[in-house]
Order: sequence, then C-alpha cells, then structure tokens
Amino acid sequence: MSRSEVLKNMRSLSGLLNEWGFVKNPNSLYKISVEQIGNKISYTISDSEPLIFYNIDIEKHTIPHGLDKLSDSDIDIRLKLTSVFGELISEKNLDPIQKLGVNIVVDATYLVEGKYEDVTCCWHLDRHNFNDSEFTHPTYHMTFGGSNMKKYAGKLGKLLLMPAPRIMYPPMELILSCDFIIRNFYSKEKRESIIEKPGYIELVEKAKIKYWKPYGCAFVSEWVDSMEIENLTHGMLIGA
Amino acid sequence: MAIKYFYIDDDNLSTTKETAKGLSVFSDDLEIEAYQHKKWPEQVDFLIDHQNDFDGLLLDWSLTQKNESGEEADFDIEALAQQLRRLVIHKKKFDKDFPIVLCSANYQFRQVFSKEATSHDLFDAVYEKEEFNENREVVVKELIELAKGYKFLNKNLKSTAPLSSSLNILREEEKSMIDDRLIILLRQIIGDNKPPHEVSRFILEQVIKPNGLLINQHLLAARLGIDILNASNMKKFTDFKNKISKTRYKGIFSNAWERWWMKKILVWWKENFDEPLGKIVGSERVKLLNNKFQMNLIPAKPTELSRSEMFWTICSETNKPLAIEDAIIAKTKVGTVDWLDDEYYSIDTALQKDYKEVNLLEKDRLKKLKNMYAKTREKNESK
Repeated sequence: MSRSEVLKNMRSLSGLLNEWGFVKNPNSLYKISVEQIGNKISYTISDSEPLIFYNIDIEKHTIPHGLDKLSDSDIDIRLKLTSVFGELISEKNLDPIQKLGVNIVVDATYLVEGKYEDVTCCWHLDRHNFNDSEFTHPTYHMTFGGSNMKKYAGKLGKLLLMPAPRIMYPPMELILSCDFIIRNFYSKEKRESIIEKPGYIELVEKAKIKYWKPYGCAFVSEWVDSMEIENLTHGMLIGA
Repeated sequence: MAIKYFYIDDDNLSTTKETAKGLSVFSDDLEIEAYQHKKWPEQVDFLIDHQNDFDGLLLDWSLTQKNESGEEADFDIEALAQQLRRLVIHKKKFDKDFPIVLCSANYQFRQVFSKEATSHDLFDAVYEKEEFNENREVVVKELIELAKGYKFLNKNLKSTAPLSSSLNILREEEKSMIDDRLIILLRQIIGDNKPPHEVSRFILEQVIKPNGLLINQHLLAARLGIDILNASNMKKFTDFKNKISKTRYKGIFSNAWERWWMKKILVWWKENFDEPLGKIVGSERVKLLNNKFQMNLIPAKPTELSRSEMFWTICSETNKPLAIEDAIIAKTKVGTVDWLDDEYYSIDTALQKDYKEVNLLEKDRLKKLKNMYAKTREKNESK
C-alpha cells in the first residue's frame, strides 16, 4: 500500500468514526505522520496521543460484579488504542508486515459508596521478532495484560498475570484494530450504526484481503499441498 | 527606521497622545502618532493622503465623543475599516495594504466584540487599553511585527517567487515535514491573488496562533513534561529553549509570536533519545532532558482530578499539562482547519463549565463527571 493510500484510508476512517460519534478524537488520525523510508511505510499512534473510544458497553459477567448494573452516571469508562505499524510496499513477500504492536487498554472509574475505584484491563497484539525465545510465540499473537499492567503490580489481589498463553490472532493494522474494538466492546445497536455503512464495510474488507488473506493462506498451506507457501506472493493473493 | 502607526481616538487629544507616548517607549522601533477622529469622508481622505506616513492603524472601538472641532464621528469604526479594506482590495487610492488594529478602554469590550463575529475579519489584532500598560512589551512587539509582516507581503505576494520565499513560512527543506494540506492551501491563497490582509489573517489565525503544526511554549513545556507555570522555573526553561532553537518557527510574524514546529521537536527528540517521546510519562521525559543537558528542569504535576501523566495537551484556561485521556474537548470553533489541535479543559476546569462550553461529544461525560464528583463531595462532607 502506498503512503498516499494509507493517508486516504486514515482520512476515511476518521470521517466514519466522527460520524459514528463514540470516538473522542477521530481527527487525531489526520495528524498521524505516516513515514516512508525506501519501500517501508510506518506510523505510530503513541501512548501520548491514543485513539479514545467512549461509551463502551459492559457485559453482565464482568468482574468486579455489578459494574454492568451501575447507573450510567456512576461509571466513566474509556478505551485507549495505540498502535505501531510498519510494512513493505513490495508485493513479493507473502507477509508485508514488518512490525506490529497494538495495545487496547480499558480504564474505568466508578463510584462505590461515595468513593472512586479505578479498574483497568489490557490486551496486546504483537508480531513476534523471531529471536530465540524459550516459549512459543506465534508470529501474530494476542496477550492479556502486557506492559500496561506493570503499574498495577502488587495491586492485583488473587489474580496471577502471566504472559502465556500467547493466543494466535491475525494481524490488525489501524482499521482492523478499530473494527476489533467496535465489534467486541459495543452492543449491537451502537456497533450496527457504523459496521453496516457501505464505506466502512469496504474499508474493512480491503484491509482483510490485504492482511488476513495472506495470513489465512499461510495457515492453510501447512495442510494443503497445492498451496505451497514458497509459491505464494502477496501480490498474487490480493490480486495486485 | 521605526515602524509608525496612526492612532485614531475620540478621547481628548492630550489623553490620546499620552497613550501613544506610552506605546512609543522604544521609539527607535515603534512610533505612534495620535489623532482625533474626523467626519466621514474627511477621515478616509486624510488616511489616503497620508498613506506614506504610516505602516499601520490603531483605532479606538467606539467613537462617541466630539472632537476638538465639536464634531461627532458620523461612522462606526467597523465601517471605516471595511471601507479601507475595500479600497485596498480594489487598489483604489491605496498603493499598499496595512494592519488595522482595534483597541478599547471599555471593560466589556472583549465580550461584546467577540459576539460581533462579522467584524472579526477586519482587524489584525484587538487589545484592551489596559494591556498597553500591563503588557506593553508584548503589544509593542506585536504591532511592530504585524507592520513588518504586511510590508513583506506587500512586496513579495506579487512576485512569482516560489511559495516559501513569497510567504517566508517554510524553508524549502521544511516542506517535507509540514502537512501537505497547509502547502496546498497556501498555494491556493497565493494563486487566488488574495490581498495581504487576507493572507496575513490566514497565517496568523490558522497557522501561528492556534496549536497544531506550530505549538506555543505552554504546549511545548507540557509535551516535554516541564513545569513552567511556577514563575521560578521560567529562567531554566528559557535556557532550555535556547538549546532547541533550531526547532523554532522563524518565518513571518515569528518575532512577536514565539512558536515551535512540532514535527521538528519530534525529530530533535529522536536525535537525542532512544525512548520515543510519546511513550514515556512527563517526569521521565524531564529526567532524560536533565541528564542529557545537565539541567534542573522541574517536572510538571497532573491536575488534581487527572489520572494520567502521559502529558500531550494543555487546559486552554489554565495552561496546565494534561493527558489526552483526561482532557475534555472544549467547544470547537467553527471553521477550524484539519491540522489544528482540539482545545481542551482539564476535568478540574470542566467541572466549573456550562455544558455549552464543551464539545457536543463530551456533554454526557461531563454530566457524568459532575454527578460523580458531587457525590464524592457529599460523602466527604458528611464525614
């Protein structure tokens, strides 16, 4: 994908999120600097300027119990998305992604008997960098916790927080990350008002073909002889 | 040669001259010549006849008193400014464009004036007369820089020189790091043969004054985690600013409006530190700066009701540093362009605000926060 295509997609995404109304700072997507050095494109949504989602819904089995039953005015809940992404423009490699790190942090402040409590929850999606590691790291994996939880060390009660298991998960750049959040953290009524929009569907489908189709094919090639991974290129798969 | 403004007021001439003298303290740089108003059309003719004698105009907002000849002004100041702008645009009778600055001693002036949105486009700067005493150096600098900017634009806008030299905003090498949309808009403005007052308005109001591509010193300090709200830290910060002078904006109007290119700050940070600026909290940023430059900058603290120290913006009312997640978006001004940052309030400030002063998107959250904090206050008080 060229730099201008990335910028154009960010612009479309920003417009859609703006219209949807549950993202605090969709305009910040305009300001992300997308860098191109040689044939490498990269961008960062940093911890200091995360994309912030408001009004996410709390499911009824959430712990601490009762959060879902609090009146809306007694809980303030925010979800932060940060992302580091780098890819090659070349269509020769099957997987164009060079670096990936997505953080999803949910922070809630709620009232119990006239006092505040702060609670948090973090997910991290990573691209493994293939240095020797003692434990299994699927190339793309999702972890609960991650470095964002470090500041809560010692305050986790009886919860044990381990980096394992690193759950296999397909890669997500910015558009797929937003889609992940919209589908997982918003109830039907809220999410439908964006995911059913033609412009949104097109944006997400394009991203899936670009990043999930190669992932899916590489996965299947393990068992399907006709899909020798060496014979596949990114360009072939996405129809470039 | 000193920059010269004609100052027109309805006060008696000795008072007006006194005000003019106050602003002419640096007489090598700025000279203000005081006049009482005349009747229309003598007023317009007088300015046309003397156009070579002034570089800018300073006008009193309301002309209600009689002048020494016993004449009342039969026009209002907006009409005069409008007429002058029109004559400039149609290149009738004026060979140059010049800044028109408004002032008033009326203490409600800013309130009333801010509601009269239509006349905002006419004036390059607006001051309360009190500022002439309290903030004299800043006002003088701005008046000088405005006039110099106009002189530059009068001369260079007509030329066929490339964008960078005709506007003196960006150097060639800076173009690649600046938002494409700004360059496109600037090109359009020049291509459309806009008069200098429109070009200067765009540059000042959409590029220099608001935070976005360029940032002011409060936002600079916040993003680096430095406390400058305590006056005793200012000297250290000034020393520090000298160390990053290459990131400063040095184009048109930069002598009065001190700004930094945000992109250059990020590049500068990358050159000096491994840890990305946006990944570490304010106090860690200051620690790195102090170690590297053997300085003793003081880290900023979050506001009472903030949760995060990942400072990236400021409260537009108090200038205190804020993390985006703690910040409440203020009511967006109509007509702002894409590259500008949103304006924010801290939760502490927002709790004192009416719902109409925050962005529509933040109304529910503010309602919730007001409710939550009211409940905790009740709880504390009942203890």
